[in-house]
Amino acid sequence: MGTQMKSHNTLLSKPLSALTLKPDHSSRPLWVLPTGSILLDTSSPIYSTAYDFLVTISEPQSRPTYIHEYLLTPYSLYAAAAVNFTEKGIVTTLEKFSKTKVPENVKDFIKKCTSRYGKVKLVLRSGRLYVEALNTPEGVGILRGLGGNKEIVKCRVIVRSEEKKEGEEKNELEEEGFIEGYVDDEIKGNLNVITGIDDEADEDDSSDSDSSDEEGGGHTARLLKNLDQTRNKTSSVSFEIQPALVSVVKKTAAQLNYPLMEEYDFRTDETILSIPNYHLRPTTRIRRYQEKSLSKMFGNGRARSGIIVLPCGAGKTLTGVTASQTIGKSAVVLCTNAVSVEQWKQQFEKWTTINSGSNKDTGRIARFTSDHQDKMHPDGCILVTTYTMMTFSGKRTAQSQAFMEKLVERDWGLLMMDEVHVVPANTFRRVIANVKAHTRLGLTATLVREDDLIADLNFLIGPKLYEANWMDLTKAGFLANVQCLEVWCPMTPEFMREYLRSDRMRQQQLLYIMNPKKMQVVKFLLNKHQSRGDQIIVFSDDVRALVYYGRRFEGQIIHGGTPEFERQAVLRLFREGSINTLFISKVGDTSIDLPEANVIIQIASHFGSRRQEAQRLGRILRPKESTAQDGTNTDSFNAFFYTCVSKDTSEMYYCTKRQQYLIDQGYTFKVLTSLHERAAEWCRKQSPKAFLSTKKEQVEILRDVLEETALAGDAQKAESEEMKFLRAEGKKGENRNLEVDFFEKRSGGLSSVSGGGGKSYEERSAGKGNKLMKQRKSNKKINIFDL
Amino acid sequence: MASSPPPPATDLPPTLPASFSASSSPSFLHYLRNLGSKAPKTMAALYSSPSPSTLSPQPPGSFFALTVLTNLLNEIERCVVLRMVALEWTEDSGITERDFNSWFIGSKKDWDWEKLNDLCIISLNPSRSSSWFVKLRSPFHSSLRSALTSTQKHPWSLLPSAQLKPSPTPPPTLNELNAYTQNIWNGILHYLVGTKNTQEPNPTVLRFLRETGLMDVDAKTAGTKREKWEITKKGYDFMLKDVSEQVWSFVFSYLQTLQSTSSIISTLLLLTSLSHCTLSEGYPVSLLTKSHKTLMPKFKDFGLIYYTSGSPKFYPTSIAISLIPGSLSSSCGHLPSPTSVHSLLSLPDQTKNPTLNIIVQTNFTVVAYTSSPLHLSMLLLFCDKDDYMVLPNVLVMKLTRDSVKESFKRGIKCSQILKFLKKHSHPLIVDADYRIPENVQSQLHLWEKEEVRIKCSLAFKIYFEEEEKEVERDVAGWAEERGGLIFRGKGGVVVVKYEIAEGAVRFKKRRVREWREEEGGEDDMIVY
Repeated sequence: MGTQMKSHNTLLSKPLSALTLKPDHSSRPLWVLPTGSILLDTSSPIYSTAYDFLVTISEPQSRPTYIHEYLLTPYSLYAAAAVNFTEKGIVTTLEKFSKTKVPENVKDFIKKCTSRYGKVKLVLRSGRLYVEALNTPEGVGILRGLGGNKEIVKCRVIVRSEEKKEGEEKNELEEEGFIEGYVDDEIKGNLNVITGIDDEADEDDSSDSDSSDEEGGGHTARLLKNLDQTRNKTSSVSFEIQPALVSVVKKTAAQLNYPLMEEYDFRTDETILSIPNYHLRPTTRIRRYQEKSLSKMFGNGRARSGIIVLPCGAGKTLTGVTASQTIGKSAVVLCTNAVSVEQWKQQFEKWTTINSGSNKDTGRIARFTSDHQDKMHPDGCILVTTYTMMTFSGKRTAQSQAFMEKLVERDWGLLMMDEVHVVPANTFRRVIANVKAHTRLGLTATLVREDDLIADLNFLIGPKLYEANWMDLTKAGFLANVQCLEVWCPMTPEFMREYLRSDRMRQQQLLYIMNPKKMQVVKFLLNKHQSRGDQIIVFSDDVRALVYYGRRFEGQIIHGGTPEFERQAVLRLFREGSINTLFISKVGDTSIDLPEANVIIQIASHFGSRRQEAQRLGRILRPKESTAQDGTNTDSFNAFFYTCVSKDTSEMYYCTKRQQYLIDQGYTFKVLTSLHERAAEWCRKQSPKAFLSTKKEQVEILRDVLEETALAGDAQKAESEEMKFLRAEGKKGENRNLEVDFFEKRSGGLSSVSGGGGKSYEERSAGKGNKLMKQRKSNKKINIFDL
Repeated sequence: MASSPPPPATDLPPTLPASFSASSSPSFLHYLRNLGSKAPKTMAALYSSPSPSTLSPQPPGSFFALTVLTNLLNEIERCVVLRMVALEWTEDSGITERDFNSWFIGSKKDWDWEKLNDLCIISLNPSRSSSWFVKLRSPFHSSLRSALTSTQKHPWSLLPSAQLKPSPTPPPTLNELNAYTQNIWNGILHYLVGTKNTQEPNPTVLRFLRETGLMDVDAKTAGTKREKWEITKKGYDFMLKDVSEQVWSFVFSYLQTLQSTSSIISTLLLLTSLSHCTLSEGYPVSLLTKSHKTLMPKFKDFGLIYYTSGSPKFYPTSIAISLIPGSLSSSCGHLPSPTSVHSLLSLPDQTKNPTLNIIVQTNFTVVAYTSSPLHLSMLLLFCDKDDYMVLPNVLVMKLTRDSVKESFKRGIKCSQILKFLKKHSHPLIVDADYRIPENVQSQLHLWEKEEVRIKCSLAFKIYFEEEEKEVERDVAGWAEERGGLIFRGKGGVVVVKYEIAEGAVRFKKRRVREWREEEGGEDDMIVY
């Protein structure tokens, strides 16, 4: 696949002034650079049109308020080709929008990338697979090349001439075993942008949809109408292949540099039964950006595989539900955990008529989790399950095994994958191998991975079909306006001393998470927001600390080890508003829908994970009652995202790194440097007892932390150092014999203090500490804190 | 205070001098008021000196008096002075205290005796009948009178071209004139910010840049043959100013270097005369006095006048005309602000005088709409040098921790960077609540704070002998009581604040003596 022009989004310091500025540059919104970067001026009157165009052909790099940066990549152009953007269309539109003359090398790059992408399609029609190209000399040429390949020849279904009905007028193509047919043109809306912005009717159309952003109902109808209307057709040519050998064909075609774009002609498909009485409820309203993303998926009346990127809280689920409803066939929905399985089921029932009316008794939605294994309807149905259930390789229960076999046997119209970014590529391979699905749709909010495995998704699922702009949605009131705050908490001298002495990452981590100043800040913030009547989520990746904090502040705790029923109960209480504070580990990062939450306090996180930061922010992005939908939403904040960081520790470094993705989406982080002082002051004044305001209390926490981590430690020396220090501290403070205390307490450690002993914990984290711990305590039951 | 009568016997007004405005560049007024011993003579000479023009009959020094009237006096003062001009009085009479006070309603807060005295405009005289009377000083009085009654508009007559020898070059257009000034200043600023491959400015300017401390020798190259000059914090401040302010500080420094009263007088006269000129009008070189002719090359270096050698005419540039706003008509009602001067300079031709419009984004990108290499150099003083884009009409740069910190090392302050960015912020966002995103501002401040996290203060270390344990404890206790104990080590070391060191040592000596009296021993104190 063509070489990528530039691997990173860094700006090059090459003198680019050689670009020629067009005389009427001020009325054009873009700068196109020879590096493949594109800058977009958002103050331009045609911003919205230009944005739609750019998001189709390039990857957004950074989208703050004024100047956006995009990058042309092979993948992005592949995606553009997938929605039938032609090379000519892209280049002329780019030229039309650009302030500067589009550099020749960029044109070449576009040509190189689009000349092969999207030219050949793998179409599923009536249960048979065809390799299809447009009936043009070029298309026929490519098809001949592919069809003649010795690998592919073996896979072709040979059409005998006598099977042809009107055999007398055989033409050359038929001689070669090619079939002529038609393909619907792309719907007008999708190609608007490259066919001509001067077209007045189009302008009207876009302005119309701009103004009626909130009223989604009409759009739903329009989308469906678009799909059903008889449209212009283009002649196409294709040959059939054997379904069993499809992977060989795909692989060979990819090797020949003609990756096959998969399309599913669901309207003509009779092999998979449709779900009867499956409609969107009349009250269901689709927003403009949701409609837009779906129109990319169903652009030419067929269903394309691909990924839709929408911010958390912007209604990914509804988009997925609508996609499923549009296809109307059986579908598998994969989510990350059991909680979201429930949520998906509820959402299906909320937005569509699938389980009501005549379907009421039969139950067209089946759950497949370790707890629930609903009966799968023999005809069309929706199956909701988790990635883990699908890829579980150990021994299954008999019931589960039977369910799985049924699942694998069936053909599915759609495989929908929620939060695609979280799943490792080999999991995908197995899922995709297991589920015979004709379309694959990935949904995510954050298409970033620290390990850059995103590229895999492109070929496993399909190109990115649409990506919404967070700030635009915020402005329009579809997302809450979140104030992101970074609270600096200095380490207490005792904690800092141990932090600097420690050479074990685990210990250092726990030290900066359990920093008493941080606890004071959390206490202060909790109090402040609780008194305002806010719904607060406290996030900690470290379960030990989470439990400690949770107990200390008397809040409900959810982590990997919390039993399912307890989780559901706690979440229900939170949604009802009976409890206003929830302490949650990274299980709460994705998919758990808590619409009422509007404050997040993050006390510990997974190193520099940009994705986690964005996902967590997503928990409070759902618009609140107070969210204005008239474009004034950016005036005041209605949700708060606090990250508490211990100053002068590595947490600071990770914190900056984590924020990068959100900063690129236009979010800003405000640093609060002196909040801890106010918090400390407030804590001192608490009655009946000041909170963590004496050195003694603080040192107690330190001792707990050290004891806890000392267990995992391998160095005897470190322990004795800690003891020495503790003894000194003890003498200085209360004159009591800490040494006795120290040894007595050792058996319990932090777990006994926090009361979380004995519970098993499922989440795993890689790290040395973990290993050491296992070695040391291999004969013991794994304790909740023994991560 | 202001209404209380001044002591009659003295020439000095009663009130203390109002403190000079602490603005970054001393104003023209400031300069005039600080001539010191030269003041009375200079001012008198300025008011009475003959006009630059010798061809037509003219009141002496009238243009200077006008300049003073319009530029240096506030509304009340102008009003009072004009009223006094209109009144007739004899040599030994003037406005009496009672009459004078009746001109004011309420306090005389805008009336500054000291200033008017410094400018040799008024004099206070003891009077027999009342406590004092006030009158205008004669050179100013007569000069202003004739200026007000004169019909002459130009300091130098505009001779018809026919009377002059033909010019070798056509007269410059307004745009050329502006571009000329801009070029001169860009050259200077380029050199200042260290753009590569810039020509050294002419020696006058070079000397100015170095002598005024705007540039300093790079420590690494100091003493070597190829000394490299670098911008200093002061220079950075200078760079951030409006062009008019920059020109003024050049002129001001030049004035400061002048020693003789006569050269001061002639320079000031030329400056004020220029301020009464009309833009894009050519004035005959032949009408200049000899001393003014010698000043011409310097004024040319500063971009104040435009003339080509051999040309019979010279052309004052817009900056020269607005440097000391002078003509009465232009200042009727209000005085031109320095910013209007700036806009005057940058408005006429966008292509030749590029404006700088900056958008600072929340992701620390700096987007600067400009095509000027000078602006690039300016921004590179604090933006990332390795990661920027130069597009035909826009620069895209990034503020990074390293780039900003590097500029801090040069002595540039966070406030200066913000000031620069704010000053040139894009019109698109000028109306918004913030011109620079709050997070960027606070981040810059935080970076600056990082620089000063460690405070150094003097401390004093006192050593103790093994057997002086008790003394050591007492000394530490003594220091702690006074809040001066910094550190008490294990091995007989006590560190105290420098301020209390003397007391601590004295205390130690006393304790040692007491202790020795008890135990008997040897005084063996080492103090570092």
